Parts: sequence; C-alpha cells; structure tokens
Amino acid sequence: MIDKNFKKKSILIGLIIFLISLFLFLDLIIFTKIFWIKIVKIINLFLFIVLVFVLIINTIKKGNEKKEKEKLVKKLEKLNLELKKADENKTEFVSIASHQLRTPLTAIKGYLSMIIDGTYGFVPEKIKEKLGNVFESNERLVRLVNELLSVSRIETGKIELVLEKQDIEKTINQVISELNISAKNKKLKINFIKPKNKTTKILIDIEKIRQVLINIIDNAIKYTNSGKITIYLEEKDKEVLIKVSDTGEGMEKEEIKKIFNSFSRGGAGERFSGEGSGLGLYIARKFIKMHKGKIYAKSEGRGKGSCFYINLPINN
Amino acid sequence: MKKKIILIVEDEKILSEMYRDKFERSGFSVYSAFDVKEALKLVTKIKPSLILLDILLPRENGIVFLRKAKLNSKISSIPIIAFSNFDDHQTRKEAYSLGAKDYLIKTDYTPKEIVDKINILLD
Repeated sequence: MIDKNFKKKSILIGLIIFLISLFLFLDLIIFTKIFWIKIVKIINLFLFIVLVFVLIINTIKKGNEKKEKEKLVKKLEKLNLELKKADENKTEFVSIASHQLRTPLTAIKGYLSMIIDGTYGFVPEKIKEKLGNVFESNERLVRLVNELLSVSRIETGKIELVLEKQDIEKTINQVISELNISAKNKKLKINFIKPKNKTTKILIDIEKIRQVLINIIDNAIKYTNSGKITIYLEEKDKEVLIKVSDTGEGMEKEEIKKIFNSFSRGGAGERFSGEGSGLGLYIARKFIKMHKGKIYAKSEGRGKGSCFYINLPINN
Repeated sequence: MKKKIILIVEDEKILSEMYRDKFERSGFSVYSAFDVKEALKLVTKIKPSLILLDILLPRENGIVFLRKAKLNSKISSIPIIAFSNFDDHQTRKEAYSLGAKDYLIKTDYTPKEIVDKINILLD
C-alpha cells in the first residue's frame, strides 16, 4: 500500500519536473532573444537540473534505505516468531518431561513408603533409616520437578490462583510434620510459636502457600547444621505474619539481595549443598506477590542464622 | 462384613499394581481398568464404592469418563477421585465441575495417604 502511494507520488513529481524543464528549455530556445538573459537562463536551467539530479539521487537512496529497513523488520519479525515458537516448545517440553518424570517418581515413592511402613514385612531399623534417606532424596526430586513446572508456568503467565479461605496455622502444622523427618535426621528441633487465639482464616491458594512454606522451612533445615528452627505466626494490622528463623549458616547482605532471583542459591548454598535448584525462593516470591503479600529475608551475616518473613493480607 | 469395592482406572501398569496392592491390604476389593471404555463397561457390572480415575489415559481421557459418568444415573452417584500427574489448572477445574470429589497429584501422595483420603470420603 505504502509502496504504491510512493510510486504514484514519484511519477507525479517526475512529470512536473519534466514539464518545468521543458518549459524552461522552450523559453530559452524560442522566446529569449537577448544574449545576457539567455546566459542567466542557461545558468538557471543548469542549476535546476543539478538540483533535480540531487533530489532524484536522494529519493532513490531513501527508497533503498526504506526497502532495507522493511527487509530488516521482516527478518526481525520472523526471528521473533521463531523465538516465540522455541519458547513455546521449551515450555511444552518442560511440561511433558515433568509429567513423564513424575510417573516413575510416584512408583519409587509409593513402593518405598510401603516397604518402610512394613507393608511387605518387618524391616530392620538400620535398613529403614537408609531407605528413609532414599525416600527423602526422592522427595527432593519430586519438589524439583514441581519447581521446574511452576517456573515454566510463571514465565508463560499460565499460573492462576485458586483462592479459598484457609486456616494457615493448620497448613504450617502439616508442613512441619512433613519436614520433621529431615529435621530429625540432622538432630534439629522445629518450634512453632503461635498466638493463643486462632488466627483469622485467609483467602489463599493453599497449594501455592504450602509450596512456599515447604521451601522456606526446607531451606532452613538444609542450611542449619546445629540448633533449631523456629516458626512464628501472628496476626497484626490486617495481615498474617509468618517468620521462619534458624540458627544456620546465615547470609551476607549481598547474598540476601540475590536469593530471590532464579537459579540463585546464595553463598551457603554454593558451599554446602548441591541439592537445591535455586528456583524455590524465586517461585516463593512470585507466589507471595500473586497473593499481594510480601516476602523478604534478614541475616546478621555469615554464621549468624537467617530469618525469612512472609506477610499475607487478610482480605475478608 | 462385605468388602468395599474400588475401581482403579490407570493405564500405567506399575502404578495400577501398586495401588491395588495397598488397597487390598487395607481391606478393599479392587478392580482395574486401563482405559475409559473398559472402565465404563466394568463400572456398571461391579458397582464400586469409589472410582480412582487417572486423567491422562490412552484414546479418551479421564475428563471424557467424568462427562459420561455425569450423564449416567447408574454412575453419577459414585464418588470419583481424579488423580493424575498432569497438573493443569483448567483440567483440574473441569474435573471438579464434572463432579470429581478431589484432584490429587500422584507424586504428592503415598498409597497410604490415598487410602486415608478414600476412607475419609467413604465414611
């Protein structure tokens, strides 16, 4: 469309220039008799031709530049489409791969749990302990797959909240009992300090908040070699506040700034453990943000423990 | 006392056998189907107390089963637990809207925890 208009305009301008030149030439040949006026008109005609020539060159140049730009835009659009497709393929791959990974993980988890709980007969304590470790490793794999799926959904905006009024105290208790085995394995105690009166039920996506709590408390266990982990719950100024404090490795200020980014494990993570994916806190921040809440961390420095804070609004 | 019947609709043989094992040891009578067609045929014959339904099945998926079950008065009163490793918000929503009592992600539960869920539902 633009090209057609451009062509029409060029033809029209060309025709006008040709007519002017013809008129000037005829005027010079037929009507101009006085010699010095003839000279002036020849100079004028010459200047006019030079000007037209420069204009034509410029127009051709601009036309070429425009064509080049259009080519480049088309190339970029094509590349953009290819990138989008590659991104979609990646997301689909992560989704399918995660689903495929989950099937054998379910079988491992299921059979291990049945062996440990004595479904197939008595298991000596020593073997049970080792199997418990295998079970725990499998659980970490399950969590890693869940994290990969969550990140892939967050990045494609395919994640939604399923909100229901929930008892956060009950959820924290469930998470504690789930993680108690790994805490006991490291001889760590988990304390839960809660208000005397029941906290108000809050509108949350229970699965996502559960995932956040598991991540924070599991991290506390992972990075604490002695001492305890204390979870505080309180209700204040239309907010439910959760604090997870540990006596573990702690963090430097620079590390705190980075830990909520994807694939970050902080200094302690890099030195002491190869288990974390570095995605957990990134997901946690995204999930808490989706709930219009806040999540942040504090630490007095290396070796002085860490504190993670989660504020969730009570939106009744 | 007559044993309660559970129908497992699961195409992964290893998982189907694992759940059958646990459920039988927990006092249930268990039947297995590997696809929707087989499950629909079996369900009217055995009249189970509960159906444990996988979502990603060959040919027709679990959502198709739920849709057909909802329209069939002989099946619609049977509680169904959807359980899958396919964790998709839309599918989950659809399963609930078609009457599923729960939507469980298999990797998140041990067979014992599923038995606990079943007992709560049947009580």
